[in-house]
Amino acid sequence: MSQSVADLPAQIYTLHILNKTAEHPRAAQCLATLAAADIVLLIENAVLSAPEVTTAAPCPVFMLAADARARGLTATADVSTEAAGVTPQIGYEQMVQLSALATRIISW
Amino acid sequence: MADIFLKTYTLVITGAPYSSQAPQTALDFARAAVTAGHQIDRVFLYGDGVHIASALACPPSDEPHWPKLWSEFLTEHQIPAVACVASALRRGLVDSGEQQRYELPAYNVRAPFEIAGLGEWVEAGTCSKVIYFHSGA
Amino acid sequence: MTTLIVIDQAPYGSWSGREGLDMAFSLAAFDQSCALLFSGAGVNWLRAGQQPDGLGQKSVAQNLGAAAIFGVEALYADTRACQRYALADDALIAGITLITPDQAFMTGFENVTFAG
Repeated sequence: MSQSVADLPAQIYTLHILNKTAEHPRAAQCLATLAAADIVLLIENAVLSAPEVTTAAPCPVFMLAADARARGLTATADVSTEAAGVTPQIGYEQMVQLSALATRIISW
Repeated sequence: MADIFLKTYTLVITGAPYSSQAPQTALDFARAAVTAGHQIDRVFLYGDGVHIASALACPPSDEPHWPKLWSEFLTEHQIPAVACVASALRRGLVDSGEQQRYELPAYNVRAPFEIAGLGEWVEAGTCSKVIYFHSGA
Repeated sequence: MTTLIVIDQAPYGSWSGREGLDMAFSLAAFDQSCALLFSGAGVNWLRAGQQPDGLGQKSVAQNLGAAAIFGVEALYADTRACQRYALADDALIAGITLITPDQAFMTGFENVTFAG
């Protein structure tokens, strides 16, 4: 399930790139600084914490498809997981788009 | 895409190859950025990231050769690349100039990487969008 | 263009703190506006009386003490992390401003950067 440019907000104040799982202290620090107009992109190991981060974040959360697939987290069309808030998966192309749209980028 | 949406990026990599995913994520980002028409002003290696510049890495043939993949990408797109001198020297990444200066037995920095100071990073930050690729540890 | 360099790893056992300090001092040397934030275990860089010579390492106390003269605009420390590591005001080196690194605080910087 990939997002097109049309689905991304017109302006993102901060793009937060998080590559650490939720129990890492820096992940908590990241969550503490999120604003509603921000975007969180989970990459590398952080995709494993997608449900937790998506629930906690006041802003949209995306994850890199390649990292999710590597770790066995497949995109599913199951309705019940949709209801639980599945984190949309994107490719490196959309990662670049998000970075271009953001006013600032923080890699945690 | 209209030109006003095209950006200039500096990529800073602080995670080492084979110890972190940073070099891989950064390269996939870099390829996507160039494909989309953005410009990469330079790539800056800092901390453990300097190991990407090694000419002596010898991974198994069925694993990606990160220093080689990076040097090929940088050469193909003529993107300047710098390994921070303080980080590199401490970790034993030296070019021929440093080899002579310190009378070392060899040099091992792979082209097109050059050794330079943090001033390059400071300057890059004044004229491009800087994105960092850290270790996940 | 204000940059906040964040140091969140403890001293002497990891090097990202030193690398963060190098970044901050480089920015200051090139007249770029910057500040340092010590958070998490990184607040331990700020404890007075460190003597790392037994480990073959250098103390950064002098560098931090001279940060303002070098042009680093502020040294911030996370209040809660200081409490966690029992760093009362009198245990800290001079010149530290205690803050909470929440969204409002972080929004004040154009760049927020870690060394690693």
